[in-house]
Amino acid sequence: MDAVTDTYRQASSYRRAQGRDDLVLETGAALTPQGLVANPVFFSGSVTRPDVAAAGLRTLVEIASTRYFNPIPGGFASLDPVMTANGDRLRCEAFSACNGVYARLDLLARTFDNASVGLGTTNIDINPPLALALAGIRQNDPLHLSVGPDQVDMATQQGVFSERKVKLPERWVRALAETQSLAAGLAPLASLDALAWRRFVNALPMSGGSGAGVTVWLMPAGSSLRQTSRPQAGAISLAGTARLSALKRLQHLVLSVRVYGPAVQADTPAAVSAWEFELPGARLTLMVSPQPYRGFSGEGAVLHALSQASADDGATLGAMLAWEASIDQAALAHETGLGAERIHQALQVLATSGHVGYDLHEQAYFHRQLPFVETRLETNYPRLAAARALLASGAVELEGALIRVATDGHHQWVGFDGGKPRCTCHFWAKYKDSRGPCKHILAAQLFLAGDAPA
Amino acid sequence: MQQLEQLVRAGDPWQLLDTASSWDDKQRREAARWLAAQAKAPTTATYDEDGGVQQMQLLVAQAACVADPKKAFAIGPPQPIRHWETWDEYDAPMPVRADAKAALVTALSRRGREWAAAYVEAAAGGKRKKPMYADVLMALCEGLGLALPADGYLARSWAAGLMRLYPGRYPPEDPAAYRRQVARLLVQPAAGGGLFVRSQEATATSPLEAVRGYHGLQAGLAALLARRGDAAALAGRYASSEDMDLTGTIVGELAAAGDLDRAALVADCIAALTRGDAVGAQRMQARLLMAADPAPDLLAPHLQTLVNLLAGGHGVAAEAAQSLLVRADAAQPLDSELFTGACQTVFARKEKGLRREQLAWAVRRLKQHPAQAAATVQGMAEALLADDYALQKEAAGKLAAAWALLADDGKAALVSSVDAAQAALDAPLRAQLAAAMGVAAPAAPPTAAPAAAVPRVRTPVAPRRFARLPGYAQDPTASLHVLSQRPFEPGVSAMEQVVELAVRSAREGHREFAAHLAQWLGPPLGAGETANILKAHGPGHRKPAKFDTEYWSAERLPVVSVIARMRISEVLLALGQRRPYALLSEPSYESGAIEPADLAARLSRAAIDGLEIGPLDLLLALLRTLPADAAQLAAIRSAGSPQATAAADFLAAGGMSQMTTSWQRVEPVAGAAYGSLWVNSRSPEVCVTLHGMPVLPAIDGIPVTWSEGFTPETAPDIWEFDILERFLGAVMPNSGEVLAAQFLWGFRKACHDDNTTGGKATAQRLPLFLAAGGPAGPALHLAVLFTMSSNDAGVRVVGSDGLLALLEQGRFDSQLAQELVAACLQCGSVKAGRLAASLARVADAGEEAAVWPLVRAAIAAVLCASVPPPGSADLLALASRLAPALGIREPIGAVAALAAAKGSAKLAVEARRLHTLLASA
Repeated sequence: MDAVTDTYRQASSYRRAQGRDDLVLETGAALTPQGLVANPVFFSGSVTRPDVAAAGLRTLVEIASTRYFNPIPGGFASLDPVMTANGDRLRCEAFSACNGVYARLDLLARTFDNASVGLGTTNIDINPPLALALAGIRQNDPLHLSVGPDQVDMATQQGVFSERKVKLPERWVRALAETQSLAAGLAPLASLDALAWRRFVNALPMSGGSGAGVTVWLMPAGSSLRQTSRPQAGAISLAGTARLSALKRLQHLVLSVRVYGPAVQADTPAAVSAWEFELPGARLTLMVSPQPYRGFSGEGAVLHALSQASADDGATLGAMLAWEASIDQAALAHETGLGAERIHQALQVLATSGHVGYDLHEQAYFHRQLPFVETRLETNYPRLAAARALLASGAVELEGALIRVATDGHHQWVGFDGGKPRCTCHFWAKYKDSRGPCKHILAAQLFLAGDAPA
Repeated sequence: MQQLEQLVRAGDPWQLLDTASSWDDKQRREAARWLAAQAKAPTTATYDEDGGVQQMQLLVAQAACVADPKKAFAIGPPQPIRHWETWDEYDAPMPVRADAKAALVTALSRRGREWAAAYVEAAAGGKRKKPMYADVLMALCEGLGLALPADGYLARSWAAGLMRLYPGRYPPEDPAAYRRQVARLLVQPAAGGGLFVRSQEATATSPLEAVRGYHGLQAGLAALLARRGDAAALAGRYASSEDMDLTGTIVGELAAAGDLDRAALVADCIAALTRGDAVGAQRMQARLLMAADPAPDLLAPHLQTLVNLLAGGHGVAAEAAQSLLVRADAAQPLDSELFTGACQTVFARKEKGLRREQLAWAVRRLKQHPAQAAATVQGMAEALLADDYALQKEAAGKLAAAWALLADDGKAALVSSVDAAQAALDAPLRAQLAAAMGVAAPAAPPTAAPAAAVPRVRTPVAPRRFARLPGYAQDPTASLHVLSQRPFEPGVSAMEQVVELAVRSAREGHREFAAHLAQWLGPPLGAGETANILKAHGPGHRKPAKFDTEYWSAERLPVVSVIARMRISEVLLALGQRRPYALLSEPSYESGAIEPADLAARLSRAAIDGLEIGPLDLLLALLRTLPADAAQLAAIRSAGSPQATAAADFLAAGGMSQMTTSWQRVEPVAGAAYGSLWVNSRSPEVCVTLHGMPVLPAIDGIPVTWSEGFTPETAPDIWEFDILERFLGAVMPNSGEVLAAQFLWGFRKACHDDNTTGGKATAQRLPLFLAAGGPAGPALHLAVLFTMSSNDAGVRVVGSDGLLALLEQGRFDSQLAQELVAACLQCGSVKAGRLAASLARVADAGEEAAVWPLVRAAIAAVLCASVPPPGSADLLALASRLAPALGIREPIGAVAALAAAKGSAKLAVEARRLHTLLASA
């Protein structure tokens, strides 16, 4: 058997012939319940709202090709979304070129006309001609969607297309891990109906801020959101209003919007927010980073959990997952005998290689498994690696109520206020916990967890 | 390689090419080595024409001899060359002769198609520019049938060459004086393989003629349209509207003359617009699309894409798409789905002009295509969902008129659409539509939560406040943390925390730690610097030189912050010399204010323990101390020291509350001093006078010129008061009004359209002014008002929060605010539309009752003008929203007069609606 290579065998295409529209989204190599498969077919059937699927994909493409902060001409971004078939739905995920916006389009079961959805994760080819063709898809024309190569088409066009390698940027893998961790900490803060959303977004200033728009905080006010300049309890951060601009393609299709955010206080400097758009037969989720200049890949949100997680637990859990659309953590805890906390930590370990995502609507993790992606904790999380090195070198020791960490010829002290850590280093002073813990805190946590070398 | 060197120096590229072509492989390898050495060692040619000639000779030689195409343009630039002299096309040092370019293309083509393709890919691709000419590469691609590289600088480089044909930023006064030398490369297949290229040079007498002769027009435009954002290059380096218009005009004329493939250009433009590039690029793409002037048959394959552009495109793109759809629809009716889709997307957008044009199109379409009436009316009904009462009203009228044209199924569909829009319509409109359709008026949809149910949202004014830190002995981690965070948090709280902790640590014996803290605070001022400051602001000095570079450039310490800076210096000197220091100015409260009883206790302790009282520390303490009662004054005086006496005298006179403000409308007077300080010296302005203190803090050697007040004619200029936020509240935590009066020029500039000089920075710091206590007078109210009307949308949000803060603090003076709103609107210093949006935000926070009087005053002010300013209708719309919520039933005279007038302008429609609401009691 030939080795599976991560390439597209054809370009994704859209054709209109004999009164039927055919949209073929070509897949790369995929991980499926049967293992690694080259160019599998995840779906083949009709969709009830072709315009929604097309506009959703175009929105994803626009986001993937846009650098919102300090935009530069030209295109160096990856346009190929990650697609996960969860049995009842197809999820397409992408990040903006600046890595500060995460977008996920969920095509739900009700949009598929009596056709089944497979299981697995892959990348799909989105090329510029296809992106243009998507703009010509109409609401009432019947559309046949194939996610995976069309066998007939392959027979006729074999040898025409030179295989293209699948591009999955490394920072996407890191960012996928961060977004699921951040999303799990968000709560629904506001809901808007279509009319309120339209009024809100039309009043939102989109210019300025080095291309990313202005930074505002939003407070629920009646059925809408009110802009304010300062954080306060219950407020939602929207750093860079222009980062919602891609949604204008869907504005007339939006049925309702739900906004999620973390609990903020008056002194919260910046925060992530997530915007979930209910569409006919689909759902689009947008998550924007705390500042326009911050990409998700560097947020450090998973570090706390990783410092306490066990790789074995991750492996145990990984073996039990099979592309569930909604992972039942309680059931997993019961089946494995691991506690809820260890299950959560194990999910974070899996997330570092993109194996789980978080669905805000379901308030649950979902399974995806990226092909050709290894868990590389040491290279992807250098702070964690540095903390382990500090611990291994015996640089961490208890000093009264504090933990002293010897580093670079001097000492830093780590203390815990009601369980909340703080450090005397510059990293902590500058970022507090907004970018995850510093290496000294991680080392202290590992030390307290009993990971000290014998 | 002596022969090659001589050929390069001789400067004839054709001779060089012929000779090199006759060499065998060994000679070529030797030549390639010599050329590589030349690339590493810059030539001795200077920046002149010789440099360009020599460069082209080297390029031709490399094209003929070097085996690896990726190394065949490794040319060292002539030396010396200054970077601004680099010709921006591919970083080429200078323009060169066209025959040399022709020789280069010929040389490249002789290496074969594959080699040439690799050369083009290497020369045009990548993230770094190469020393190459766009027309050379494009001629080569054209001749050999190669595709232009999708990535890299080729297209933008081609555009840079095109822009050089334009008149530029300084065009000749007489357009007939325009002259440009234009070179064109004419490519033909050569008999023995490769290409034969000739150059043709001509003098163009107009930009159109020049562009027509420019190489690769169709391919260049296509390449620019194919890449994200690159089309913006056609508007020139400075994105000027003149260049954009000229490009549009020229492309239009060339397309009309058949020099460009119109269908291909239209397809390229639409494909580019669909991508959703940056605004500048979309603007150019839309301009090119309209310049192509496509006939309806050319648009037929793109109709759905154009409808999608109405949703996804920038305003100009949507405008172009709408105009083309109208054109296509006039020739051949669009099918129902397309038209209703277009209406759905346009009425969901915010651009008022686009929405009105869509409604006008629908109205025209009813007459043009009566058979399509059902779809047209269906699309028109989407306007009922728009957040624009005047548009809704007009659409309702048109729908009512169209009712009779509809068949039964069309009527049923319209009833269904109107039902779906109920939540967006007010009761009279619902009733009007129901009556027209002959159906029962629907029950009112559930209204939004009543005003009282909206929680009153309070915005904290200043998130970081002063809080005493635990001492070093108590919590060393927290204390060490101060050292760490100090460079990153230069706010007033952090600064005060460090000062306080340093003095306390020294007192408690942690001198090493205190010394560390002192280091973080920076070095103390030298004797010379202190003397300069005192000289600049000493008694008798009225106004410092506007910009004394010797003093100011080192560290700008104008009046307000000089006190804070000198006081830090005083603390540092005391710590350094280990003198026992009193620290009178430590805040008692988070706001930075000092309780008089605390001051009395500190003065008393200083007298008993023999602690040193620094004059700057005493001054700062007095500026921070809250008003004292008789008992507190007696306690302060009882400390017995001269400083205590001075403090008691100052506080007995009222302290900082002696400084008061008043406002007036100042008419412009030619030559008046204040004229240069205000944004527009030709218009009347609302000015604030800061009155001086009768009793100044009497502290030896400390000048307080800022306390002497000013009138509008002598208002401070920009350099007298600095805007370092860390000093504002720290110096005068109880005197927000004084601070606002001093900085009012900045707030005023923030709401001016031509603001370029710091106004936005001032207005963004409004929360710091509001965090400072004391009474709020005209200066603070005006600061809030100007910020609410800022030309920056983000700053306007700060203004709305500022008004909410004033309300929360109980310092909002509604009567004063109404007078100021009216005066500013009449002066034109506040824009009605911006003010309405900001006031609406305040109302959204549950403050409708506070907002109503301001809206009412604003409406009265704008409607008394002979021509109401733009945005007046927004004020009326806001009033129509507030009046029912508050149960207001009191007509406004000016509105009644306007409501009586005829017309369908938005202002008149809104006036009639408001008048009806107010008179409906």
